[in-house]
Amino acid sequence: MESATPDLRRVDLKAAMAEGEALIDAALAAHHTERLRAELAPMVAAAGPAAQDLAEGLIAAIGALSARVALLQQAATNVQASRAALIAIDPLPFIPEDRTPLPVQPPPRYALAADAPDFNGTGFYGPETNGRESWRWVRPDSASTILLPSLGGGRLLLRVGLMLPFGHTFDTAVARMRVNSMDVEMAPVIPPGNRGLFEATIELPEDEGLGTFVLMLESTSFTVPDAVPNSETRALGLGLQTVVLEKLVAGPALALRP
Amino acid sequence: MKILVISPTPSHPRDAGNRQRIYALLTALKDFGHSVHFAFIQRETVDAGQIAAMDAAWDGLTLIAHDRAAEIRPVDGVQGLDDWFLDQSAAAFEALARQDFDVVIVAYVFFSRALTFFGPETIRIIDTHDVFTDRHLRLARLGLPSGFFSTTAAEEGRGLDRADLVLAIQDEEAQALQGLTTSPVITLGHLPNLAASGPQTTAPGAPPAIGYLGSANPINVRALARFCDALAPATFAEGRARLVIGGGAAVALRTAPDGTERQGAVADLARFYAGLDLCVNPHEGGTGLKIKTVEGLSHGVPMIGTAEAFVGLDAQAAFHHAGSAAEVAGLVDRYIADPPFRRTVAAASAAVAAGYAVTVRRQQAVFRSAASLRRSLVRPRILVLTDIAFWQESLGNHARIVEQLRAASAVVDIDVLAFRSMTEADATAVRRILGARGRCFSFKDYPGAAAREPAWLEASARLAGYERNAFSRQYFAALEEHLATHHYQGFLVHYIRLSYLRHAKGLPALSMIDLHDVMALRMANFAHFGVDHFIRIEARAELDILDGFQLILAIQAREQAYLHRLFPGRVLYAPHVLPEPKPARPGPGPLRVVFVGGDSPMNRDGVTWFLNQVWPVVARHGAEFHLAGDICNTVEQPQPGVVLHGRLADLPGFLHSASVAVNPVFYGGGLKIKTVEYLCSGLPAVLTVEAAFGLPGGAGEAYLLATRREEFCAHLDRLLRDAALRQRVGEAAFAFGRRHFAPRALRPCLDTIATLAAAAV
Repeated sequence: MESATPDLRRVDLKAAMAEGEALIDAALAAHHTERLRAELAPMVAAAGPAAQDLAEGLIAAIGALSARVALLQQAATNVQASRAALIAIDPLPFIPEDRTPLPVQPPPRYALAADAPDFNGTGFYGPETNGRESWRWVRPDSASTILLPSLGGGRLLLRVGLMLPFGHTFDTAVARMRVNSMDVEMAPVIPPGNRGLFEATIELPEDEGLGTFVLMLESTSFTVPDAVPNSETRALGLGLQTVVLEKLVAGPALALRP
Repeated sequence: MKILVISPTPSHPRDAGNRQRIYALLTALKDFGHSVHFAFIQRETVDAGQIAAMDAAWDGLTLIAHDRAAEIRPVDGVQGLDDWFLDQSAAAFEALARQDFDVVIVAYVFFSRALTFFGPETIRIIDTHDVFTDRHLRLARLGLPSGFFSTTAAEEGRGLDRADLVLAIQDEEAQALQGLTTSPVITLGHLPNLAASGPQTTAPGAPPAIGYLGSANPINVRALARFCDALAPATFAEGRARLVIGGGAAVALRTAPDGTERQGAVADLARFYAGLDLCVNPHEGGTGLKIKTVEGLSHGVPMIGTAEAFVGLDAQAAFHHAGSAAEVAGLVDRYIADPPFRRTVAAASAAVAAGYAVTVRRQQAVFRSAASLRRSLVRPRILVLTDIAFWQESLGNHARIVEQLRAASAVVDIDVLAFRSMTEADATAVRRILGARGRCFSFKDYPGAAAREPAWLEASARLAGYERNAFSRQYFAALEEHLATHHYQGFLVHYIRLSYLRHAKGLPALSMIDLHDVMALRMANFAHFGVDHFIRIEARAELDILDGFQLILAIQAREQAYLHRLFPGRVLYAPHVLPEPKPARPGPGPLRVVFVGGDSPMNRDGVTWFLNQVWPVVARHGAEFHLAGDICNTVEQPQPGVVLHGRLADLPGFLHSASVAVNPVFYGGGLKIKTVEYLCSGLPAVLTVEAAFGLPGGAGEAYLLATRREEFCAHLDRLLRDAALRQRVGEAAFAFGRRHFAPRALRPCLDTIATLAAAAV
């Protein structure tokens, strides 16, 4: 059976309120009428049939009036009532507005710089900068991780800006990346030299916008060549500069019927 | 990689679910560029043409002769693990073992002995297909003979322990198998390897064609018969719809509605499915993934089925969770009569198919390289610290921890150190939750801790304020003693009152706290209504403590947002999840409005208000208000129509029989577990704003939200008057519940934890 009820996503709150008020009025009237009917029952029973009909009509009318008076009395009382008394009648308007449930809407794009406050990674040295750009070097012999938002999952474009220390240039053996535990093949956006911008399309489980995933970087580490004078004494892996995520519009995974 | 797959099921012809599974697995391996050698144990007969097809399809084929007559017979329906493994096959396996395969995969645990011929240099894997522990008993409950393999838990566990890695076909089975074996278990679903689907051949406007395709196996035939018996016969006799049955089931089925088209063996699957508007799977009982469900969906056909038919597919709609074959028949009647419902079924089915395809592709990726496969064998171990007796499974916070640990045990190994006395039964209950790789300890296991001198921490400035007040010398000493002999890659503290444990020496760097609630927010909310909270902590002190953890787990969306602003990049969303529930199916009799709750101040005040200010207004419909839980102790003189049940042994059963739920609380803490239970049970509910606090939307669709008493009355009155509205809101609630609170909703959080912990291995 098809329902004749309106689309609930467009519920008219005013109408619902009016409906609720009418329900409360009706319940109160019924309550007063019942009480009156019970009180007058012996007298009504003793009366003749015509008088009984008249009495029933009067009881209903007086019951409705009595309920109305009670409502007005309550309204008058409410004006001066304490907060506690009002909460006892209807606490719902007192619930703070910030408790209202809200749909989660993840942003379509997320960008993370190496020196951002929300950078949550392991296996990196601290952020460094030359005033124009910032980076973090991967510590030697560690699998470096970065915690990233999933933007609701599905298909995402992942772009990672990387650099290499001591003038080394990229080749395929230097860097490996994984998304969670899965290997990701990163393609260079521009021909990489000492710096590179790499990208990959990744597919994450769909979530409702609050999910996370881990980007892992693995790389060989380098030390400054003996012949080159340099104050850097650390062994360094990749230098991470930026991570950018963009949500891609998902296409159907299978040929599906409309 | 050079991969050997050993199977008693042929890969050709693909005319049965298990054959399709083998074919799809081998194809996926080849698609990764691996060399795939197939060893077929000839337990099933196939003709020479199919042998040739197998030989052509794979990089190598070995046929291993098998004589079923030589198999050991079952005793009382139970087989020994190796009863079907014939000694005469040993030479063939020895010869295969000499070929230096990188990986060997055996299909079915009852041929796991084949793995014993391979050394540790080969990665040894069992593709389980099914769980065989007490399978004969499960079938007996359906009135069916076993007809296939069934064994004991100990025997199945012994077989699984032979593997370096165990493949389950769906998550629920992975969980069951984890209880049997110390080998790591991962899920590898099934994605049929399809030829391109043909275009739909049914004519627009023609009576819809409803189809079923299945073999003559007794489980199929029984479910199909029960489905057919419950269909409205006139629908098909009068030509309002067509019923098409294909496969062996069409022959074995005794009675079907007049006009049923029985197609018998189906040679061209694509053509069969192209001729359908709707596919049904009324499967009841049994285990495993329902290949026929995946097959229908993969051919793009909308489907309706039982919850068992859709298990493992992350389906969300109520019509993918029918409680019985008869219920599937009712849904088919609705499908025939209600064109908008047809579109809903089509959209939901397409979403399930697309989502599942992505899931399986991701699961298959573990086979991409030897390195990724080897990584899956090494699992990090996490230490969970709690003083909550979660194994009792009687309170909302128990449920949260239990489901979190169950889901987490799929991706990490877990030790629990409980700051409670535990009986052997308690420890057994914990191990049942954690699986065979999990371990359970009590602080009482370290009796020396009770007599300790003051801990070094007590003299330290690191222990201050709230943590100093909460500090237990015995707990702290027990933990440090435990850590002297146990090593972990991460630890998780349940509840802030144990946060001081983070200072213990020997803990790993990956530190996590599951809040359940942000206490300062909770206290403020209580105070707003003049109620004192039993835990007192200043907001600043709470935030200082949280800052001491690398990751903070937030139970709900609003708290996640609040914490993310304060601790950017360090908050994981860990929603409360519930396992697969049954959608509510109220029976005849008065409508039942329900509320479930403990004896807490917020429940007491909420229910008192509801009974005084709402129920008298709506009770006129003859509905009854049923209360369950310890809240019943606070209702002294129930009004007419109010029924008190007290503490329940069967909460799902109570919710299953309800018509409408209410949650009238107006103050409280983080997420209301009862609200989540209502939604996941598909109950249409009227909620206050507080009751819905932290839900990620859904108001006006999955539940009705009341901001004033009048609205609460009007919404409840409307639900009680309007059966169609109850159905619509209930179905939306169920889908919302599955989307946000099914165990899969925890996966992003758990995968994150597992990856971070694995990086520390």
